[in-house]
Amino acid sequence: MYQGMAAVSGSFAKMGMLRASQDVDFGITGYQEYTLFGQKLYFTTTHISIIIVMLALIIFAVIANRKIKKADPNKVPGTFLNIVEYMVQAIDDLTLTNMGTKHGAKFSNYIGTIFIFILLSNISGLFGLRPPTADYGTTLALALITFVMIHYNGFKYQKASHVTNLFKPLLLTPINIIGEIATPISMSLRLFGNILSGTVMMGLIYGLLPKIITLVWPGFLHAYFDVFSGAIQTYVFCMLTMVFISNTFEED
Amino acid sequence: MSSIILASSGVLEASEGMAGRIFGLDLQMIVDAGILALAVLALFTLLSYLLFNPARELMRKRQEKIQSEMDSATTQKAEAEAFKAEYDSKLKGVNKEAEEILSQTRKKALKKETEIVEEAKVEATRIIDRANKEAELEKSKMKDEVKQEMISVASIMAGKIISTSINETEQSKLIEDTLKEMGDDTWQS
Repeated sequence: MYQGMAAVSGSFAKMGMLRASQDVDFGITGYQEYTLFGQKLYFTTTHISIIIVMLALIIFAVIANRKIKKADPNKVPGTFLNIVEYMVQAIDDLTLTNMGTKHGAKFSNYIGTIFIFILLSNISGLFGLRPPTADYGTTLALALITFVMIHYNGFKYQKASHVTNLFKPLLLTPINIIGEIATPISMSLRLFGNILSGTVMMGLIYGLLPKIITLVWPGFLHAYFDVFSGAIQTYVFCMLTMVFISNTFEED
Repeated sequence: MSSIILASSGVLEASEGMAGRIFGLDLQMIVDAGILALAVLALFTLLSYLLFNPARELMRKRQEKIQSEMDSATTQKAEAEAFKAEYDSKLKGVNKEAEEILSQTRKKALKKETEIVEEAKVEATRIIDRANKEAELEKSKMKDEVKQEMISVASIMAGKIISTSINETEQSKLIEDTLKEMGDDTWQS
């Protein structure tokens, strides 16, 4: 396949057109090697992207915090404060609608955090980063947190029946168990696959097309892969987390 | 395609540095997942502390403030309406009262006026009557005085004339005659 790509780009080069990027690169690159448990590990592109995304979020949060501290509830809020409040309100509404008014409020901070983090990670392709969510290590961690939350709340609200429910009906026990285990795997792979596909497509586009075309054409693809698909996948991930957790509230 | 994934997976490339890794179920992935889980938990704590909780608190405060202002506005409006109704009724009453007072005053004034006029008339007639009586009295007094004067003057004159020629009886008769001749009209005027 690499040879095919090289041939295509070579033919563009022969036509005298400059390629946008010198090589097709959409994988994770290791920058700094370190050893853990006798294994060579790397400080990768994903880590850099995560640091940048988290820094952006933390800076935003610090600025918002300062504005909120200075804000007088007796005065009309400014534009920035309005945006912050709208965001928090929207997240609260989302959690309360999906998880119920009784339990929803406890989870809105976590749902808000992963929503903002995944959304910014997914659209970070727009800013030239490799999306952290295009690394399975990232999405697996998020899905495992959800998995832990599901079962923590399951034992908290359903007590022993959280386990006994797996054997009802007895014949479907294996399917029930597989279903439980499949939850984090399907959630992590769904997010990972969607974002990775976008990243790969964009990598190929930038790597193979002449520069003159990439000035116009990838705009639409960025809008689709990074913004549209990224936002949809963010919403889906958060929605599934909320639905799976709120299923455990039913005390039966 | 599978050869690309294998070739670019961490397992095969770990020995020669990592480049173009896409997917690998290895220690790198597990460590990455652990790092990200910690990062997300840290981010959760930070965002909760810095962003979500303060923003929610601010919105709650504003909501409470707006609610209290709306409540106070409602009660104040009700109070104002009650005041307005009270003042309206009072104002209507005031007009009535004022009219009543005015009409009463007018009536009183009219009554007083007629009384005064009546009194004045009575007084005037009394004054005129008295003046008439006084004039009458004065006239009769004058009449008597003049009569007496004339009598005395006539008797003096007659006395002087007659003292020489006649006696007293003739003298008196003469005077009477004279007076009769003169008549009342002569000296009364």
